[in-house]
Amino acid sequence: MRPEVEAILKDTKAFLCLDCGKCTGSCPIARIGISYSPRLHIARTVYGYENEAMADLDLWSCLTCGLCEVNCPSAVRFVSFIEQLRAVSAKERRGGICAHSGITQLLAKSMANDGHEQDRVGWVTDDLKTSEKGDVLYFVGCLPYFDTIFENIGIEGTKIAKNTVGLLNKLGVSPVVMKDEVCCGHDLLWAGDLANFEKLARRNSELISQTGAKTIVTSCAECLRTLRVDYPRFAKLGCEVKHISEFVAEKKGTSPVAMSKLSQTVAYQDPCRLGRHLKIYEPPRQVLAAIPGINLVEMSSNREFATCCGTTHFLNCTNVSEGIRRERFDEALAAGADTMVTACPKCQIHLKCSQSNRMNSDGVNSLRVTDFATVVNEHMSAK
Amino acid sequence: MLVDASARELLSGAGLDMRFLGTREQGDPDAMRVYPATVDRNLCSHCLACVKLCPSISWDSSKGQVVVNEVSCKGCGICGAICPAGAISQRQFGTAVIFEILDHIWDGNGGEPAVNSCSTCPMAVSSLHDDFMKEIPSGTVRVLCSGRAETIHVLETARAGIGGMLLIDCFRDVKQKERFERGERRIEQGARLLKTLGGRQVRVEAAKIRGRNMDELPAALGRFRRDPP
Repeated sequence: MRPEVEAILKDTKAFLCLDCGKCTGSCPIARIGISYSPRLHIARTVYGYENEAMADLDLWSCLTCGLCEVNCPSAVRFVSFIEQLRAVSAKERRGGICAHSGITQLLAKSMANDGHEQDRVGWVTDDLKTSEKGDVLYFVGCLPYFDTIFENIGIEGTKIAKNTVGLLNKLGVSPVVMKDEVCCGHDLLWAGDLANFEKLARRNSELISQTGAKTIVTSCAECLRTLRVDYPRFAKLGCEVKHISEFVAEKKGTSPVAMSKLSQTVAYQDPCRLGRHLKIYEPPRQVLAAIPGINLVEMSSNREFATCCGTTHFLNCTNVSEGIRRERFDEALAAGADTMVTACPKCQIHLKCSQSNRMNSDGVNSLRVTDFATVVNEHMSAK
Repeated sequence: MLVDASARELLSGAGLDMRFLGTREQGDPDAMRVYPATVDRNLCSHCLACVKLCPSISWDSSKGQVVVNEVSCKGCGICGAICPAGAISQRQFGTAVIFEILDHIWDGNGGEPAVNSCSTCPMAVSSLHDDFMKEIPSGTVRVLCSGRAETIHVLETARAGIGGMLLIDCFRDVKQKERFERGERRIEQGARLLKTLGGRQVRVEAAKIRGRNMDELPAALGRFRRDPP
């Protein structure tokens, strides 16, 4: 066995695998795409067939959603196992099939290497208060790009950004918004491209330290996980990273805000990065539940058992992903929801992409898919 | 040019003129032989249209060129037909035969294209003739089929340091107007992304081409020549 693979097995405790198959039994991909098996991945690697495991295209199908980890009796860190195995495999020029022709990965690589001056703060309108330096920094992420890339499926990335800043303003914070922020690098990290990820991590932490921020707020669950968990391995950040839902839940009690009425039945979609990766389940629910008139319902799988939105890091998006989303829509409809609120722009993209791809069968397209910050900001007013 | 008898029958059944096709006798050892496609590096403009089309062709970034896997290549010749630079040749089907096939695809229906959408067109940007492509200085303009243009092509073109893209559109006033509009929209999105991202802009020109009736192409190329991107 190769030493680097052996190190991965030790690090992720994959040697402890009992071969029980609970991972494959719970895996959303395996449920629909029957050829996929997390157990087989571990078994092949443990028994020294790591070359086969790395050459398998299904290495890139894993959603890294972490549902298998919740069910694993041996606490094998499968998500980390996949992440590290991909990094080894990517060195041998392998990779998954990029969705949307790989445009998100290309943008990230371009930001890592080309050093162009971006024009990314055009969405900051006069009614929004932002500052150059301060304690709180809002990490916008790729939202200004999503406006253009996903306009045909109705994604308004900068609307999320505007509402997040609006929300922060109402809580008495005028956040720092960086003009030359680069992509957090999430998609590159999970595609095994560590070299470019490191460049982005170093660049961002350098820029963040120049603003003197002590707290970073993100509106994206993937940015949050990357900044909080993955950046410290490559670059020192020296500040606290919070999702906007955590920030609002903490500040709301002490801030003079009022909520206006929302008479809708809302189901909250747990993003895998926010939920299982970082164990943030309650803050978004608390904030949403505080909106008067709201009927917050739970889908049949929720919190640590929530089904993922079907695609992560824009890799290997197939009809299996569509099938997973179909299940998720069915769960929302069965719970009687007319609105799905998610705390991750990527979930929104994947769900809306699915809606735009199918005819309106069983009312799936009448479900409104929207973002946490948007809903909360629209119904919150400063007293 | 030799094909075996069954292929000949098939092609003539499809109404193709067999002028260019010889006959290969059954039992001829050469009948079993597949001639892989070859790429002329001097002509290749790195548009990667063939790479997207065929699993046997890949981009070798260490050599900086398109390579054909000679073991897996089936010798079908479609890569040669779609190559906008005329850089790929395939010995079973020479350029002349491929154009013969194209003519029938384009004019098989009383002047209307016989294929009614780009997704059923095996050739896409196919019918660009070598003579026209020779007028494009290598590495200055990328040529794309409007039905296959994607947002990412604009960004890739800019990153490769190429300043211009030519969008070939066969269907603008025929049946697939929305395909061209889609291509145009994607290109416009690409330009907006590039503006957000920073860096050099890419000029995009559209040329209306139908089959080999390429009236607009010299004028479009002329615009690039007079005003280099």
